[in-house]
Formats: sequence, structure tokens, C-alpha cells
Amino acid sequence: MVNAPFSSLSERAQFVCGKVRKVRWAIGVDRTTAPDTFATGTWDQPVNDVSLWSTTASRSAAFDSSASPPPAGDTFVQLSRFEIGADCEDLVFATSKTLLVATSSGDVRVLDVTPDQIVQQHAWEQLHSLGSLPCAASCLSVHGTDVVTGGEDGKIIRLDFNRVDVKTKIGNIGLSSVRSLSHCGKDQVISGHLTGQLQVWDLRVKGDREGGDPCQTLAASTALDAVTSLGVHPAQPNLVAFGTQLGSVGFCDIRNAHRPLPDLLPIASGPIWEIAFHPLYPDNCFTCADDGTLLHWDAAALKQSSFRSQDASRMNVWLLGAALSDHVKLTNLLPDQKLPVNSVDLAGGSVLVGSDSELVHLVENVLLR
Amino acid sequence: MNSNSIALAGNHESMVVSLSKISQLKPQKTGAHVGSFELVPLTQTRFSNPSVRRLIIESHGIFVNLQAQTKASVQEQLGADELVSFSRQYRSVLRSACLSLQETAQGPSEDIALLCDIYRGGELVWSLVELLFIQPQGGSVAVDLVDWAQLNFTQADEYTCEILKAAESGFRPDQQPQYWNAAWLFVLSGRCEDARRLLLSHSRKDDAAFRSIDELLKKFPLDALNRDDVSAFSDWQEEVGSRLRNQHFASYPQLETIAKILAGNDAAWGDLRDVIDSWHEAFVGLALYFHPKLRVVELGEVAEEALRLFPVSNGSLSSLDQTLLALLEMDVLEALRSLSSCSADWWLVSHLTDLLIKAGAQLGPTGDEATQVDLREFLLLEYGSSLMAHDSLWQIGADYLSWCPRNGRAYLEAFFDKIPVDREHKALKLMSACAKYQLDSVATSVARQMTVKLLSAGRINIALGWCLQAKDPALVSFVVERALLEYGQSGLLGSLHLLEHLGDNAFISPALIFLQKYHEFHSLLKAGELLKAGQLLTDLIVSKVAPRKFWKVLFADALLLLDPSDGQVIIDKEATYQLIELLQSVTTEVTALRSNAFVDSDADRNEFSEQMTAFRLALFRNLGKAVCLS
Repeated sequence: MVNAPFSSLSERAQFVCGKVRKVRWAIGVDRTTAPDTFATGTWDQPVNDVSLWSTTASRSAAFDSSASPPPAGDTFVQLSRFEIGADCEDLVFATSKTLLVATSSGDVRVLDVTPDQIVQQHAWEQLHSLGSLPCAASCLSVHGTDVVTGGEDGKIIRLDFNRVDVKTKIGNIGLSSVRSLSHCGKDQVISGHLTGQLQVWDLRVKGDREGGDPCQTLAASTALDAVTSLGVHPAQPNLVAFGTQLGSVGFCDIRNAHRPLPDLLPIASGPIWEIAFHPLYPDNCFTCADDGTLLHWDAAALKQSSFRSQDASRMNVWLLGAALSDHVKLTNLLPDQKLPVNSVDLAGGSVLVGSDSELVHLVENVLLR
Repeated sequence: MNSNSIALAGNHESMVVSLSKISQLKPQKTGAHVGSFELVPLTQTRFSNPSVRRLIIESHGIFVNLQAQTKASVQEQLGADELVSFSRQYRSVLRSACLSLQETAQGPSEDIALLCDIYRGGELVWSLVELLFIQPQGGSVAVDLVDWAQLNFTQADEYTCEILKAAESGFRPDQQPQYWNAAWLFVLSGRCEDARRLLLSHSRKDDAAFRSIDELLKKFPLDALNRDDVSAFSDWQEEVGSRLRNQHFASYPQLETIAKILAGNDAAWGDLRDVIDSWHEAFVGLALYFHPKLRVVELGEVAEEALRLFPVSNGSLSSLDQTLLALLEMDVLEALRSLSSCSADWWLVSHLTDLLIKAGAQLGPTGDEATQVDLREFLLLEYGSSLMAHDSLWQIGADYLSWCPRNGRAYLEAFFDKIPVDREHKALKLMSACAKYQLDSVATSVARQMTVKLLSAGRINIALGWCLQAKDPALVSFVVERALLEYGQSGLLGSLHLLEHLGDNAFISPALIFLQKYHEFHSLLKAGELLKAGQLLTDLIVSKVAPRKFWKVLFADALLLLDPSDGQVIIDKEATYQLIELLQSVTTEVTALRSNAFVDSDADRNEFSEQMTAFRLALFRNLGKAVCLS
């Protein structure tokens, strides 16, 4: 049962002209409050762009008299913009000033981001291709200087963003298209695929010319149900949440991979485009889906509950399967949203959301336990 | 000779026109290219404007809520209050679009100015529609018109702003050229309080005439009209008339004009000849002061009267005027027709018609409900189609089409087929939309397109993933066979993890079942379960399900099992007999009939024959071993 949002929530939204594929908070100094700036990447426009926005800059401070002022009533101010042409597929802040964007033409671009301008530092072009044609670099994950990208061609490529020439291929030709990627620890990467599998890769293993095998393959869902998003628990990197094409969410422990299909929880009627644990309150998880739902999963109550058995009490709440679906508190934070919600990012008590209605929403004062 | 030549080329998005001048036909055709230009439908560029885009998206939200709420309500009928609420939401987004266009316009632009005019006209029409057809009826029509005027006729407010600005710089308000115009326009719109305030800024406000008019304006009984207390209103007008006759305002002709208007005296119009720009401005005053008891059905006549007093400059009415007149005459169908001619696109007419129908307005002859439904559907289809033709508005367009019960589905299928499927994320989005609108055939088509693209690029392993999504048995078989032939030799089929969890999906194609089993064979091998692997392999070979060109791979696999390093017997006696028998028929086919079914070319036939010989030898050796051990 999905609840309506609390009245203490405050929501601000702004039309940003362009379907928003990804939103990302900038890396803030204080992890308990939301930073002042965030980045967006658009898709499905004739020319797409990556922009930096401010949530607090006043209009006069952000603009000099020569530039045209933003329309009245704007809640966010666009500070700078960079055209990337092709769709933005994924966006990651590697450092507070460096933004990496993966595009649908197979490129990964490294951008220097400041409130005045966004400049491309360098780019790896056409990392992914199908024959002679480029194809999308669908997902990106960054850990320190380690950058891993997965694409429509089924390739997973490891890069070092300080060294342009280093490119290592992970995985062999047997892979199906990579839809999502995440580092789960310094030396491990998990990938989610079109054909419903999760594969875990150990980066320390030197692959052969063909890239090597994954150290594990898990069946997350069926072959017709792609794994469209992945999220790694901030405190326990072996615990992974994933969302699927048919609108289900699952949680699994990659150390106990011998079980067959984990319990899938059907919560939406379209693909789950992003799933993320809150970095400071990991008993809270957020999912956004193609049917317009943005759900806040609050599992904190489950920790204290008496219905948990002896064995279950030591297990992480997210792995409780059926018990989770019966007792987790689900709240739809955007009950009026009609068009698909594509991206969510969390900082402090603020939830940043991007959608196909060309809006960026900021939901604040979210109750986190 | 000199003649012009035009060449045209186009697609569904735009057309290119090229003009050349031909100077000579014989002996050789010569000439010069004059120029080319591209014609893009105005909606394409217009829909890219951020203010217009925002209008489209926000109104979509309102539209969907309206449809959903109507469907969920008792007898699918919404109450007047709810309808008014929706109408106001629409007007609100229209107004913000207009403001936003003005604010963000960078430099003068004909198109932006035109669009602003159209939106302002749209607001004018919409608010009148709300007043006449959506608002609950009751109360005074004249009072409603005053509200309407206040919302839409802002000339007097603009003048007042200028006057105030000048006052700040030290200029006297009553010396400003627009001072009296503003006062008269306020009075004409029934905004007596605003007129009063303006007059109080006159330097002579303490003169008897000013104080007299001030008193009259203060006592203006608009409430009385609303309470249907017509006698209070006539008494007041009598008072005005008597003061006028007693020359209270003789020293100030401008004040006299005001009094004439208030009293409902025709002589007022002569004074205002140069002040009033169009019949709209006169219309409300005419209704309020000259026909205060008017009913809705009389509005048309009053409008005609206003037009007679202030005819349009070039003789022919604009589409906007025609729309307003038609509305005032309660001819909704005619109004919608005129509205379409003065609109930029189908946005206004389609949303307005949808709302009107829900409000129960009579669009055509009574009893002809079919016309109403058809009209709504026609307009929504046109609007939806214009959105679908745009690069990124297809999701919104599709939603509008989905609310057209008769032809929406056919339009959806036709348009979705045209959307290019050039990247995977787009394909997944399209598939999700197809599931939402239950367009199974389109979903299959999208998945097929992705599969074909991947096959042409030679990425058969990925094509395998997409062909399953297509749910097309023939396609799956085709891809599987390609996969078997492509990867069979390299052993990569063992790494196709998707085959481990196909479940019931494997039954879509016998070739896929075979592939799944073959993958299982490799898994068993890897796990060291040689006996089971051998059994499975034998079953696979003997069942003859594999494509013939793949048999050599199966034979090679079997050969390895027949010759294990530890001397174990993996393939048992019965199985060996079966294999020998099969091999016999294959040999006959290849050597006697010279068939190439199992090989890629003539040249490979010899190699295959050698393989079969080795295989036969190994089988007999195995038989011997198996017999000895049993």
C-alpha cells in the first residue's frame, strides 16, 4: 500500500526545457545537508546538454547585466551549460569540479564544471560500438580515479580518468547489453544486463585478451526483464538493490549467490530507471519508474519489529523478502506526476528528481530514520 | 530564353525547395542555382520554444486529470465547481505562457509577437466561454461581464501605470495625455472604484463637480445587480441622470461624459468616438449601463449594437471578433470554427472543446451527440498528431491519442511505427509505452528493429537478447541458428548466461530449446559431470533437432567425450549404438548423395568425411570398452 506524502514535505519544481535523464547533486562539504548546486543531463532533444544549476543563488548574483535574466519565479538558476549533442545516458560527479558524462554516441566525456562555465577536459570517444556504428555508453561508475563504463555492445571498459590512454576491457563476448553498473567496493564492479542477469567482476583479476569471466553471475529476473538500475548499500557493499524493466525491485546479497531468483517485488508498471539507498540513512531507499512513481522505501520500522524470527533478526532488513514487502513503508513523493521519472539523487533530507515532463523537482524535509 | 525551375524534395519532417534559372535548353541545358530553403512545419519550431513547450506539458497534466476525474465521477459527469476549477487551471497556464513568452523573447520577433497576440486572444475567448458555459448560471450577466473585462481589458491599467510613473518624476497626473482615457475606460468596464481613485488624484478634486461624481461612483450599486435588485440600480441611474440634467458637471466636459455613461445616455458615445479602439471596450459598458437587466440570450444583440456604434476599421471582422460574436450568440460550433482560424495550432480549440463537452454545452443540433463526440475526437487527434510529429513530444502526443476512443489506437500504431529506434534506451522507453497502451504489435516491431540492427552489426549474442523481447518465433529461430553457426566453433555458447534462466520463454522456438540444452551440456562439462553431459549430448545428436551445419560441432564435442584421458566410458552402450546408426545415415548422405547440408562448401566435405571416419572409429572403440566393462 503506497502512502501519500507527509504534509511537512516541501516540493519545488522547475521547468528546465529538455527531458531530464539524470540529476546529480554536486559533491558537498557537509554530508548532512544538500549542496547548493546540482547537474542535469538531457535526452531525446535534437541537441542535448549538461547543465549546472543552483538552488540558492539569487538572480542578481548569478547574472551580470549583459546576460538575459531568468524568467520570474524560477526556483533554480542555471549557472552554466555544455552541449553534448547525443543523449546523456549517465552522469557522475567524480570530484567537486569534475563531471563525467556517458553519451548515446558511445563517448565518456570529462567536464570541468564551475558556476561560470563548463569546459570539456578530455573525452574517450566511441568507446562502445556495434560494428562500424557507434552505440550508447549506457552506464558509468566511478570510484576514486577508477572509471568503469558499460554499453549497448555488451562491453565493460575500465578507464583511469587521469590517464587518457589506459583502457582495459572487462568481460568477454558472451555478455549481453549492459544496462547498469556500480562499484561495490574498491575492487568489485557489478553489472546489470538486458537479459536479466547481474554479473560481479573482480577488478584485480587480470583477464585474458578477451577480458575474462565474471566471478559470479546471478539471475536477477527473467531473460525478458532487463536489469535497468542498480544501487549498492552504502554500509554493506555486498548488498545490492536492482530495478527491472517490468517494474520490479529486488535486493540480493552477492556473497550468497547460490540461491535461485531472489524475491522480486512488483511495484511499478514500467521500468525502474533508478534505485538508490540514502547515503547516510541506508534503511531508506528510493526508486523512480517510467509510470511516474517516485517511491520512498522506509524499512526502519522493520528493524525493531517483533515479527522477525531469530534467524532473520541478524539479516539486513532489505533481504527479508516477503516480510519486507508486507511491512516496508512506501510513500509516493510525487503523487501528481504523469510522465516518466528518470532519475533521483539524495543528499541530506533533500531528494532531487528529474523527469520526462522536463521538470526538475526538489523534495525537501523528507523524513529519514 | 529564361525560365525558372523548381525542385522539391521532402520527408515527413520537412521539405527542401530549390530554385534555379535556366538560361539555355539547347544544345545543352545550362543555368544557375538561385537558392534553396527548407520548409519546416511551424509547429516544429514553435514547439521548441520553451514557453510553448511548458504550456504543452502543463496543459497535458490538466487534461489527464480532467479525463481521469470525469471517468471516476458519478455517471461520468463533473460538477460545475470542478469544471470551473479545471477551466481556471487552463487559463492560468495560458496566461503564464503569454507572460513567459514576453519575458524571455530575445529581441523583436514576429513569430513571438504573433504568438503572444494569439495567446491573449485565446485567454479572452476562454474566459468568456467559462463565463457563459461553464460557470454555474445565476447572478447577473452584466456583473460577470465586468469581471471578464477586468481580467482581459488592461489598457486602462497600463495607462494608470504610466501616469503613476510620471507622477513619481513630479508630473501632475491630470496633465498626462492618457488620464481621461483611463478614467473613461475604467468606467466603461464597470470599475467605478478604480475610476474614483484615479479622479481623486486630480488637482481639482475638491471642486463641486468632482465631489459629485465621486459620490456617485462610490454609490455604484454593482451588488444590487447581483442580488437582482434592479430598482436600486435604476434609482441610482435616475440620480445620475438628474444631476446631469441639473448641469452639475457643466464646467468639466470630461466628467459630464462619465456621467452620461453612468446614466445610460446615448450621447456618451459621441464623446468617446476617438477614445475607444474596438467594440469590445464599448460592449461591457453598453451591457452594464444601457441594458443592466440583460439575460444571456440578449448578449448577441448587445454585441451587434456595440459593433454598430464602433464598426471595425477595414470593414471585415477578424477571426477573434467572429469567435467572440458567435459565443455571445451562443453558437458554440461557429465559435470553435472561427477560433481554429485564429489559432496558432490545435492546442486551444482541442482543449476548449473537450472542456465544453464535459460541461454539457450544446455544440451542434440538439440530439446530435455523435457530432459532439466526433468533433472532440477529431480535434484531439489533430493535436495529438502534431505532437507525435515532433522529436521529443511523442509521449504527450500518445497520451492525447489514447483518449480518443474510436481512432486513437490506429493513430497510435501508425505514429509509433514511425518513431526511429536508434538506441537502446529509446527502445526500452517505447516498449514501456507500448505496454501502457497495449500496442503489442508495435512492441514486437521495436524489438525486431533492434534485433535486425544488431544482426547487421554482427553482434549476435546481443541480438539474442532482443529477439526474445520481440516474441516472434521465426525471428528467434533465425537468430539462434546464426548464433549456433557463429559461436559454435569458438565455444562461446557456453558463456551465454541468458540461456540459464529462460524458463518458459524457451518454448517459443525449438531452435532455442536446442540452444538452451546445448548450453546446459557445456555447463555440465564445466562442472565435471561427464556422464550427464554425455547423455545429454547423445540425446541432442540423436533427436536431430540441431541445424545440420551445426552437427559437425556436436560430433567434435562427442569425439572429445569418447576419448577421455582417464579411460572412463562416458557414453554407454545403447547410446553408442544410436550414434553409430545415425552416423551411418549421415555418411550415406554425404558420400553417396554428395550432400552439402552439413558443410559450408564443397571443399569442407572432405574434412567432414575425415571427421566422421574418426568419429566412427572412436564409437567402435567405445563400444568395445563398454561391452568389456558390462
